[in-house]
Amino acid sequence: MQTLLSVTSFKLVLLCLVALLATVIWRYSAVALAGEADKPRFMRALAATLIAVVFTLLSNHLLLFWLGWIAISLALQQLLLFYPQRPRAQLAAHKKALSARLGEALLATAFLLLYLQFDTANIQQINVLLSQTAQASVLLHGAAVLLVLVALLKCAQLPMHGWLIQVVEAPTPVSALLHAGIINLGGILLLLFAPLMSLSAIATGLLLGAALFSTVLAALIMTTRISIKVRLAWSTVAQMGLMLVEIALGLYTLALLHLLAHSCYKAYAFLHSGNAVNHYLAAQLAGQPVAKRQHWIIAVALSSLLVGLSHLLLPHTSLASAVLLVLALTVLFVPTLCRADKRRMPRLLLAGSYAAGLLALYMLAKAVLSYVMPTPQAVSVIADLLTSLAFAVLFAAALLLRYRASQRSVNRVFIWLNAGGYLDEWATRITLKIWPYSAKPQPKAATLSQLEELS
Amino acid sequence: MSALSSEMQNTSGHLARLVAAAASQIAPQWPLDQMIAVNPWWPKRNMAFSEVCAEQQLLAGTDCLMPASWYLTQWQQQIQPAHLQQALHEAQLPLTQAQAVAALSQPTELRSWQRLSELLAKHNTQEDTLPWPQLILQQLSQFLALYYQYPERFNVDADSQDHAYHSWLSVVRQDKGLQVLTGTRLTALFAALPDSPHALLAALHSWLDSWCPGEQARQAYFESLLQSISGWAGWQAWLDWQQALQGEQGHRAVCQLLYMLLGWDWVLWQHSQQHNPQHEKLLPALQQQASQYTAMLVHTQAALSLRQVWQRALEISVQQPLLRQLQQASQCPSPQPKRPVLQAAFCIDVRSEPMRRALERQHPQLQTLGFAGFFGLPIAYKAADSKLSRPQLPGLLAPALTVSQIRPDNSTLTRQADLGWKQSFDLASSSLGMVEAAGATKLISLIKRAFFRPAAQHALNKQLDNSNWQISRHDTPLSSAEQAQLAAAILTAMGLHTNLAPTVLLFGHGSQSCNNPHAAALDCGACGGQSGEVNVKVLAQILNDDAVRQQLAITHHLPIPADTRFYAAMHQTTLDELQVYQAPAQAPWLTWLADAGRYARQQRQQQFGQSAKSDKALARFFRHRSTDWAQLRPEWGLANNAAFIVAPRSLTKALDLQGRCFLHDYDAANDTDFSLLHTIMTAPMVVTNWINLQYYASVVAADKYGSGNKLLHNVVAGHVGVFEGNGGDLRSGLAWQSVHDGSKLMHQPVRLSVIIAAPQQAITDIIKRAADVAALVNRQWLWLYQLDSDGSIHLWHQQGWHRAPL
Repeated sequence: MQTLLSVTSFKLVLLCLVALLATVIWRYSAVALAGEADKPRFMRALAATLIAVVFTLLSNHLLLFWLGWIAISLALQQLLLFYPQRPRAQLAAHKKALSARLGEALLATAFLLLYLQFDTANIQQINVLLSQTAQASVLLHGAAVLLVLVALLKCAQLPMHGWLIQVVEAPTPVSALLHAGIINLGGILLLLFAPLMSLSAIATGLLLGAALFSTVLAALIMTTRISIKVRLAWSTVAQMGLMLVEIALGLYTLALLHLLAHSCYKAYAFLHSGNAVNHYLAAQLAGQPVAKRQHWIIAVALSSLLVGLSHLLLPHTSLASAVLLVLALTVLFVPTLCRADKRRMPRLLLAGSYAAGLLALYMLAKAVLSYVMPTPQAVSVIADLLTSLAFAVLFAAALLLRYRASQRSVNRVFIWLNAGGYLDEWATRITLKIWPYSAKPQPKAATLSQLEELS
Repeated sequence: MSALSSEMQNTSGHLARLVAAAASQIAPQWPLDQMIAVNPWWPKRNMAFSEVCAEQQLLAGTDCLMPASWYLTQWQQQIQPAHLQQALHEAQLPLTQAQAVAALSQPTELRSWQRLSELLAKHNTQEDTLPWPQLILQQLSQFLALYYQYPERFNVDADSQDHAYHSWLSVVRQDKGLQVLTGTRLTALFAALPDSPHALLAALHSWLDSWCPGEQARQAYFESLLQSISGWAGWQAWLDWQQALQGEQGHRAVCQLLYMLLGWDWVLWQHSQQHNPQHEKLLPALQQQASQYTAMLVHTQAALSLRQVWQRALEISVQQPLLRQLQQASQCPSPQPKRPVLQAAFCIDVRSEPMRRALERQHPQLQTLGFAGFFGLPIAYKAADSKLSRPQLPGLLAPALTVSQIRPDNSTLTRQADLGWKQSFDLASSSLGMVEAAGATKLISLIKRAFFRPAAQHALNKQLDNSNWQISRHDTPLSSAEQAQLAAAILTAMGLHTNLAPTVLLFGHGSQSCNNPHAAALDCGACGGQSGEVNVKVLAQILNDDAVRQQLAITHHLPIPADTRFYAAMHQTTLDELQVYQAPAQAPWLTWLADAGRYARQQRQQQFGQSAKSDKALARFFRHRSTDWAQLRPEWGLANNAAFIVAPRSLTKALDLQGRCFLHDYDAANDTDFSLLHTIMTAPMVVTNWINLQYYASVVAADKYGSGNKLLHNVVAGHVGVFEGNGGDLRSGLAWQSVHDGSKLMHQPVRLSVIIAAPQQAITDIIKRAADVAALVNRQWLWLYQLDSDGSIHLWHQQGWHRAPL
C-alpha cells in the first residue's frame, strides 16, 4: 500500500492500450519520418512522452502523479512544435500550453486539498479512505470540482477546445498519439479517483452539464467540417465529452470501454487519414439514396428491438447507453432500407446480423471490463433521463441539419456550427496577447515603430 | 453578365475585361482523385520563360529558378565550363566564365508587389491579432472549402450567376469571429459591399483611378491578389477548364474568387480610411508601386538573367551527353524487321523505358513500342450500377465515348460501399454509439493495417474484372464499323498496321500505394490520372473482335493476321511487375515477363539506396512500400524526367536512358503527310511539357507549386485538394517527399529537351501551324532538337535551326 508505484487491473488494461498504441505509432513514425533531418529529435520526444505516460499511470503518489502529468505535457509540446518555423503550429502549441498550465495549477490545488483532508499522498490509501467516507467535506467537494475542471481542460471540452482542433498542424503520428492516447488522461484521472466522484454530486453535476453540452455541440459541429483531420479532431471533442458524461453518470465500466474503443478507432482514423480520397470515392460509388421518414422509423424500431432483446440477455445499466446503441445501429439499417429493389430483404438480414454481432461484442466487452472497472451504484434516474433526452435532441438536430437544407434558418445554424459557434476566437486572441504571431521574424524599420495602431 | 456589363459599360466594363484577363492567367489544378500533372505557367506560355520568372517574382514573390548557392554546388560537378560557355553565348551575355561564377556569389535584392493587406500588416503594431494577409487567406480558404463541400448550405438564389460571390457575402456578413480576431468592427463594411460584382467594380473605379491608372498595373494588381491564394485559384480555374471542355468559354469561377479578394481589399481600404491615423501614407506607397511596375519588371528580369544562364548551362549539361549518344546510335544501321515473336506497347511514361529495356533483353525478336498510355481512346469510364464516371484520357481533351462493364445480375451482396456502412460514423448522433459498438472492429483494422499490411485497394479499380465492355456514344452502343474506324486510327498511329506479332500485349500502367491522397499522381497521366487498366481492356476487346477485324480488313485495308491476339496487360510501376489479363496458361512469354520484372527491380533498387538484394527480398521490399500506410515515398513516379524522344525504337534500343526519357515511337518514313508528327507535337509533347514543368516547379518553387510536407497533409472536401496542417491555402503540385529523398533532390530541375527524328521542314511547318507548339518552343518552355537522318543535330533557337555544338 505504501509503495510509490502501483499496478491495478485498471492500470494494467491501460498499459496494454499504451503498449499497442506505442508500437503502432512508433513503427509508423519510423517509416513516415524517414529522411527528416530531425528524426532523432522526434523519436526522442516520442519516447519521452510515452515514458511519462507510463510513469504517470504507475505512480501511486500525488506528487509523482502530478510531476508525470506535467512531464507528459512538456514532452508532447516538443512533438507539437516539431516544425517550429510554422506560425500556425506555434499558435496552436501556445494555446495548448495555456490550457495545460492552467490544468496543472488546478490539479496541484486539488491534490493539495486531498492531502490536507487525508494527510497522506498515497493514492491507493486516499481511495480506500474515500470509499469509507459517507459524506463529503467542503475540502473534498472542492477537490472533486477541481479534478472535474482539470479533466474538462485535458479533454478539450468547449470552450477550451481550440488547441485540440488546431494541433493537426503537427505530423500525423503526433495527432494519432494525442487523439488516441494523451487526450484520455482527463477521463483516466477521474476514473482513478472514482470514489471521490461518487461522493460529490456538485462535481458530477458540473461534469455532466459541461460534458453533455460539449458532446452534443461538438458532434453537430463535426458534421460541418471541411477537412478530414479537423473533422476527426471535433469528433474527439465529442467522444471525450461522452466518456466524461458516462463518468458523471457513474457508468465507469462503460467509460472504460469507451476509452479503449475510441482509442483504437481514432488511432486508426488518424493514421489512415490519407485514405480520405478513397473513402470519398467509395461514397460516390455507393451513391446517396435519400432516406424517407418511414425508413428512419423502421430503422429505429428494428434497432430498438435488437437492443431490447439484448437487454433481456444482459441488462443495460442505463437508458442513455441503450439510446446511444439504438441510434448507432439505426444507421446500419437506413441505407439498406431506402434502396428499394428485390434484394432488400437479404441486405436487411445481413445488416441485422452485423448489428447483432456488434451488440454481442459490446456486451462481451462490457462484461469483461466490469471486472476491471466495476459500476458501483445505480444511475440517478434524473441524470439518466436528461442524458437520454440530450441524445434524442442530438438525433433530431442531426436529421434536421441533413434533410432540411432548403430552410434558411437551418442553414444559418449550419454556418454558425461551422464557425464553431465563434467560441475559439477569444482563446486565439488571448494566446496572441502572450505570444504575438511571428510569420517571419523580421526586424521592423525604425520609421514604422512610430506609427500608431491601425484601429 | 452581358446585360449587366452593357449597363455599366462606362464604369466597370473595362475593369471587368481586366478582371477576366487576370483570371485567365491561372493554370487549372485537378482534384486529387484525378490528379494529373499541369504546367503551372500554361496560361502564360505566350510570354518568354524569363519574363514569366520575373513576373512571378514580382507578383507572387515566387522564385522560379534554383537559388544561386545551388548552382554554385553544381559548378564543376554537373555544369562544366563548356556548358556555361555555351549558355553565355546563347544568352549573348558579355561575361567571362570567371565573372559569371563570381557574380553568382553576389547577393541580389529582389522586390515584390505589396498588396494592400501586406502594407497594412507591415504598419500594424497591434500584436495580439493575426496579420491581415493571414486572416484573409484563412477566411477565403475556409469559405471556399465549405462552399464546395456543402454547396446546398447557402441562402442564395440557386440560379444566380454570381452564386459563389453571393454565398461568400452571406457568410462573411455574419462572421462574428472576425470581429474578435481583429479587435475591430468590419461587419458594417461587409454589409455595405455591393451585392453585384459589377457594382463592386464600379465602386472601386475611382479608387483605382487614384493610384493605379494604367491598364498593365491594374492587371498586375488583380493578378497579385489571385496569386495570394493561388491554390484555390487553381481549383477555380479547373472548374472553368471543365466548362471549356463542354464548349463554354470564360473564366467565371476564377473571376468570382477575384471579386471576393477585391471585396476584402475594398473593406480594408475603407476601414483604414476611418480608423488608421497613418492612412495618408498608404496612397503614395500604392501610387509609387503602380507607376513603377513596368520598370520593376524590367529590373527584375535583368536581376534574374544571370541565373537564367546558369539554368540553361545546367540543361546543356544534361542534353549534351544524351544528344551524343543518340548521334552515335543513329550511325549504326538498323536491322531489317522480321516478324516479331511478341509485341508489347507501353505508355510514353519515363518509367516504361527501363521496363522496355528489361523486356527486350528476354528475346531478340521481341519488339516494344511507346505510345500515349490512353491508346488514343477518347473514353470516360462509368462504374456499373452507379452514376459515377471518370475521364480516362488526357486533361486537354473531353471524352467522347463512355465505357462500362457488363455485369451479371448477381454481383456481390457484401460490397460494403453498397451497404453504406462505412458512412455510419458520419452522422452526428450515431458516431458516438458506433464507437462503443464497433470499437472492436477498429482494433482489428488497426492491427491488420499496422502489422499485416494487406494490399491497399482503390475504391473504384477493385471493381474491375474480366467481364465484357460496352462502348457507347451518348448512350448508343458503338457499331462494329465505328469501332473499326477507331481501331484503324489507333493501329496506324501506333505503327502497328504491318508486321503484327502473334501476341500483342497492350500495357497500361498504374501504381500501388497505401494511405496516399496523391496516389493518382503516380498513375497514368495520359489516362487522366487513373490506372490504364480500363483503356487496355477496352482496346484489347475491340481488336480481338471478329466483326471489327472484318471491317478493318475490308474497309480500312488493315488485315490483322488470324493468329494475332491482343492481350490487355498492366505495368505495376511501384512493384515493377508485368501482369497480363486472361493470359494463356502455358505461354512461353509469361516467364519473359517475370524475368523482365526481376531485372527491372534489380536496376531500380539503387534509387532507394538498396544494393545486392536477392530477387525475392527485392520483390518483398517493393511490395512493402506499396502496402505500408506510413510510407510517404512508395515510388519516385516521373521524377528526374528530362527528355522526350520522338524516333524509331531502333535508335534508342541500345541505350540506357536511366528512366529519364519519354519515348514515342515515330518513323518519319511512314508518315508522308506528317499528320502523325503533328499529332505528336500538339498532344503528347504538350503532356510531357506539363509533366516536366510540374516536377520543375515543385522543386524550384516548392512553397507555391509544391504541396509541402506529406506528414502534415490534410485532405479537403474529400477530393478537392490538401491543406498543409489545419488551414492555409489549398496546396497544389507534388509533395516535397515526392521530389526529395531527405538528403538529396530526386528530380534535377531542367526544362524538357524534345528530340525529334524528322525532316527540319516538316517540324518547322508544324511550329508555324500550331500556336501552342510555337509558344512552347519559341518562348523557351522546352528545348527542341531535330535529329537528321545523317546524324546531325540542330537546335531550334530564335525561330530558326542552329547546329547543336556537341
